[in-house]
Amino acid sequence: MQKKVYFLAGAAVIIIAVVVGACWHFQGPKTGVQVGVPSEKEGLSQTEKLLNQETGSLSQDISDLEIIAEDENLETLEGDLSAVSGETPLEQELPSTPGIDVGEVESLESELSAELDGISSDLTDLEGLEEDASLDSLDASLSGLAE
Amino acid sequence: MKNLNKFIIRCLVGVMALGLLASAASATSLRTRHQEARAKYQAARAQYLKEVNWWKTTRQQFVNARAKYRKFKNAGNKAAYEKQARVFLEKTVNVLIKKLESLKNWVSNRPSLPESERQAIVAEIEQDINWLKSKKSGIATASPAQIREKAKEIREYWRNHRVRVKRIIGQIWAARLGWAIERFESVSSKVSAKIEELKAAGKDTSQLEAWLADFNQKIETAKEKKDKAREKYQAISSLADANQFFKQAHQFIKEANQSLREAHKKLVDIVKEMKRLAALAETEGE
Repeated sequence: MQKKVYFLAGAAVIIIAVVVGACWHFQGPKTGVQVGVPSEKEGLSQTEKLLNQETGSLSQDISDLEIIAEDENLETLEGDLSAVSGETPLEQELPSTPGIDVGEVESLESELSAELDGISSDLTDLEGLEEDASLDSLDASLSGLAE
Repeated sequence: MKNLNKFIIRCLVGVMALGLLASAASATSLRTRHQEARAKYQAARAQYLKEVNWWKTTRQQFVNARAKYRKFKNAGNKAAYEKQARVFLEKTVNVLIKKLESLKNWVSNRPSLPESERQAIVAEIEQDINWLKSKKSGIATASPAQIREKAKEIREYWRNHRVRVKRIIGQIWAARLGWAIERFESVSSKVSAKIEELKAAGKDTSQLEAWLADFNQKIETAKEKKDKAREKYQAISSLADANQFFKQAHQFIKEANQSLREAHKKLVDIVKEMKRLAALAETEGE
């Protein structure tokens, strides 16, 4: 957008320059008339011819400048260059590539896998604690002591 | 321009690779913590089993001394019998304390139990340990009548203890599964957010959504089973019904565990599909 403004301002400067040039050009023959060499009709014809040429040239320039202003081939260049230079994060410059951070989900999957392994080993431990038969004779032994 | 795009895409692939490395590190750290907790428990368990062997030896010595006294009733045999009775009673208290300490060790070193429940269970176990320690004092100088009295109390405690251990294990199990279920639920919401991102990027997420619904359903089933198991554990009140309730609760726990495993399988499918879509996006980017 900013570039377009610059190009249009440039175009306006060129137009002004052309108009000033034309005025200056037309002032030349007037001075000549004062000297008294060419007739008035010839002067007008020359002026018309020159004006036509300038108008054609001006149209061409405007058309060229419009093409330059509307060129979008390098629209993302500024962003791309600032990303490469590290001024802005790369992700912001690539809206067309979605932020598919599969690594994050994959990480969670691995953690849950580890969690399931942990559950299995905990299940084994707790079964061992519950089924502990080491002290099965304790009740009978204590009965012997209590006699 | 094309080269620049390629460069940026390669950078993105690098970031994803770093993410994968971080994921592997995170899972490894969880596994390491589980292994460390298990190693500590196994050391405590080994200590307990060592104490069991001492207890068995002392028990045999007590039985021998008693048989000898019954056969030859004299002052020397009586004194030996009383001495062995004191030693055996002391060893009995010790072995029970070691058994409780191994259970306490298991609970307190477990990273995968909610802090509040872990503290409550540990406090309950410590209460038992303290009670046993109080019974231990004075055994060395106890009279035969005092030995008989203490033996009766500890036998009563032991009968209740077996019921209590079943209930405590049930409590631990419900808390342990509750912890795992919460983690699964947290993953579910993150996967859901990721699917939304993909959808916003114009990807076809219908398959992912169907699998996520399955994933959530499995978690829900696990939660229901865990709640049923908790009900059964809480119903344990006497030795008579302890085994029956414990078996039923144990079955629910196994089913809950199975549901979580099935949910995890769905998650593996989800990750594969997301990777496929990511690869597709990368191709489009090029």
